[in-house]
Amino acid sequence: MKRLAIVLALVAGCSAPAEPAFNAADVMFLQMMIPHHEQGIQMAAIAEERAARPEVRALASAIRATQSDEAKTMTSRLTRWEQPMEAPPGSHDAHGGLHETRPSDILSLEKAPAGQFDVNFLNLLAGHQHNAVDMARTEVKTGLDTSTKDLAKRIEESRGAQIQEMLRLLAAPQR
Amino acid sequence: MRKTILSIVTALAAVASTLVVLTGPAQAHGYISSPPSRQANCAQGRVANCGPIIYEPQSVEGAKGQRNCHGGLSQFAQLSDESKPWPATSVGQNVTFNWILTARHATSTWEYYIGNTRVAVFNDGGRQPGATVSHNVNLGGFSGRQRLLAIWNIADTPMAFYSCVDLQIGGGGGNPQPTPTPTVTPRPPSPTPTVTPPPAGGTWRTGTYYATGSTVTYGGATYRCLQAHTSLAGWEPPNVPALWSRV
Repeated sequence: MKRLAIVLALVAGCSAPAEPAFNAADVMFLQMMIPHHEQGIQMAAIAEERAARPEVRALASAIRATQSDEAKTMTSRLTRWEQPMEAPPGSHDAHGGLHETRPSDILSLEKAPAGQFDVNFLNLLAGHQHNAVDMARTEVKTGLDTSTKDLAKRIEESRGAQIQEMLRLLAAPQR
Repeated sequence: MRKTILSIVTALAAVASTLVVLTGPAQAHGYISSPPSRQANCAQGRVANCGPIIYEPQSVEGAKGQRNCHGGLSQFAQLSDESKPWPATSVGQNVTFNWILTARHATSTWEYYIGNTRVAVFNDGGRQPGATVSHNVNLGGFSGRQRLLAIWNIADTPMAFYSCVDLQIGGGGGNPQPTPTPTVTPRPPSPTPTVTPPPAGGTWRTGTYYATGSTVTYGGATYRCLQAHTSLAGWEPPNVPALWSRV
């Protein structure tokens, strides 16, 4: 795979002006990560309204702000590369959609009883961010474009740190 | 001719990388977040030297029918190491166990054991669980310090996910309360934003609460905080323009 990517870059280098080199893994990472980010932003926006604990609201606000920026970066990169915003239908559901957060999950978060909200939100978003870490690791291993791989590294790191923070908040419920 | 070769190579590269993506990292799964399981305590840094479980607390997947904390996986053997200082959460007789799921496998049962006693079982009859799962479990009269083993039995594979939770079971009922845990190794970054904002111009660091308007230095430059937050690895000021602006 790596060798193929290098061959691709070499061949491209002979025949075309220096285009930023990217591969299908970069494209798929961006195509999958953009909607994943948007779901995270939706959950965070709900938590900013509904979370009982100020630490949870502050975390949600910071997540919404940072992910909104990242989503813009990713969208403009796909546009610059002249790649579709969405992967061909079917290419994402190799695992039967088992890893997806569904619109209905976000809806039920919105409707969670007040006393349950923080716990539901933290568990839902932690699971969502674990999946972001997995996607980012795949990009770091298989992507080609340096700035996309750098973004993936930061996503892996910051989501890992967010998960730690959420586990701490879950382990120490406010009295 | 060259164009043809290029497009074949491009197509091959695309196919190859797609395959890599689709067969990518471990496609796991789930663990108990609260009261914190052993892998949750490892992942959040509350227990040190846990090995690779810190990167994937959701991945303790082993054949069904085991009664250990690490699913029989040697790389996660630390989870069954009783000499580690596992903090126990103080609880009453009724405890709500919350799961973080990263894949919704069709589920046969969720089992909860203390020793050889199965204190609870929830039969999902092969259904897919929701995005998160909570069970209220009566601990059946057990008291004192106990190691509870929770097992998520998958319906359509021979596998199960294992999560051990250390409990200090007292009288009374109600929800888990955090115990003071003097045995735990303290962690350098402060876990909660209890700290007062650092003095203006301090060096940025993780685990610190920054109020809107406070300033830090990072990599020789000064940044002003745009939005109050607790700093995290990966949120270094130059990387998150939503949180910091360069002065």
